[in-house]
Amino acid sequence: MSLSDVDVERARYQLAREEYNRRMAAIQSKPSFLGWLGRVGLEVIVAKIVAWLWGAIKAAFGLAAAV
Amino acid sequence: MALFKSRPNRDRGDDPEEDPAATLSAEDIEKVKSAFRVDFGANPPRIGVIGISGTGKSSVINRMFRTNLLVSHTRAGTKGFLATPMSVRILKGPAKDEPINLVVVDAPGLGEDVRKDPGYLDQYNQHLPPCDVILWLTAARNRAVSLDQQYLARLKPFHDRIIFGVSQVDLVHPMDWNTRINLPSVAMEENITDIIADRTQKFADVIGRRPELIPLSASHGYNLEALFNAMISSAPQTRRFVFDLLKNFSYTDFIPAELRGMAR
Repeated sequence: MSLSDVDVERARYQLAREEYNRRMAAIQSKPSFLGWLGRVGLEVIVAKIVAWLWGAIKAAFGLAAAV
Repeated sequence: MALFKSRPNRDRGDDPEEDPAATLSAEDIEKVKSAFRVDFGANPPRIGVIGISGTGKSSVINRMFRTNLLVSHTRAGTKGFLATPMSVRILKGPAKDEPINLVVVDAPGLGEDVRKDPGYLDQYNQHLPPCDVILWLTAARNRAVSLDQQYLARLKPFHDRIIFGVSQVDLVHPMDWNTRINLPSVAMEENITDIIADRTQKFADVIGRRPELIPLSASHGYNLEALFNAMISSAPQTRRFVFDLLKNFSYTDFIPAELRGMAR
């Protein structure tokens, strides 16, 4: 396959344009992904705190009953 | 809790596509996957693909997400309004390999039969509201766009969510596609530029804004990145990332091996 100078120039231009589009799509989708991931993390943290509090309450009542 | 341990930071020079899974524990990854199943199982990502019959709507979706919607080259392939759940896999991120449904609302092509159009339009109005992205395709070789204009005018509630693709640019005169670099020839490109200018004005007259029209060829994979980028931009902000995780092509898939080195 022999490429003319024009071919090379056009291919380079198109590749740069496609790469720009790929990066733009990735950048635009990233904040919402991190936001979603953050929400999942927050839900897990809240669930852990609730579980810990529930455990503490149960322990406290268990202790109180023993005393 | 490792979910917030480290995030990619573009200011720091991190790759924006760095996989966050690298910083998560196996337990956290399982939680992310579970959240994906709940969130996107109940409300899967949904793409509406609409336009006149024969513009290659199913072909574009098949190319982007490696789905297998029926394509017919002789008759209207999509007979009814099909909200088809396609089983795809998440290709990157913490939920990599998780199966998910991508719902493609593949519309019957308008203009196929005058008796069917009123019913089709009713269906458009019924099925399009829940779509995250609406892609309107028009064929580059079709100079008569009054049908597109008429139908667009009747889909006013969706105008702000529609992105426009000009398909089948490989069939533009003089049809001498440059296979060495997988691009339209210089003569074709001049004609494509003219077509885009013409259609942009004609659609702007109907929708009241100047739309961005993306010339593309599904069969050659030409400009699919640009179309995909436009899809991401038009999706609701909170749902954009799902499409990125399902994208199943790269522009480098479509260029001759000898040119791949130029891409970097």
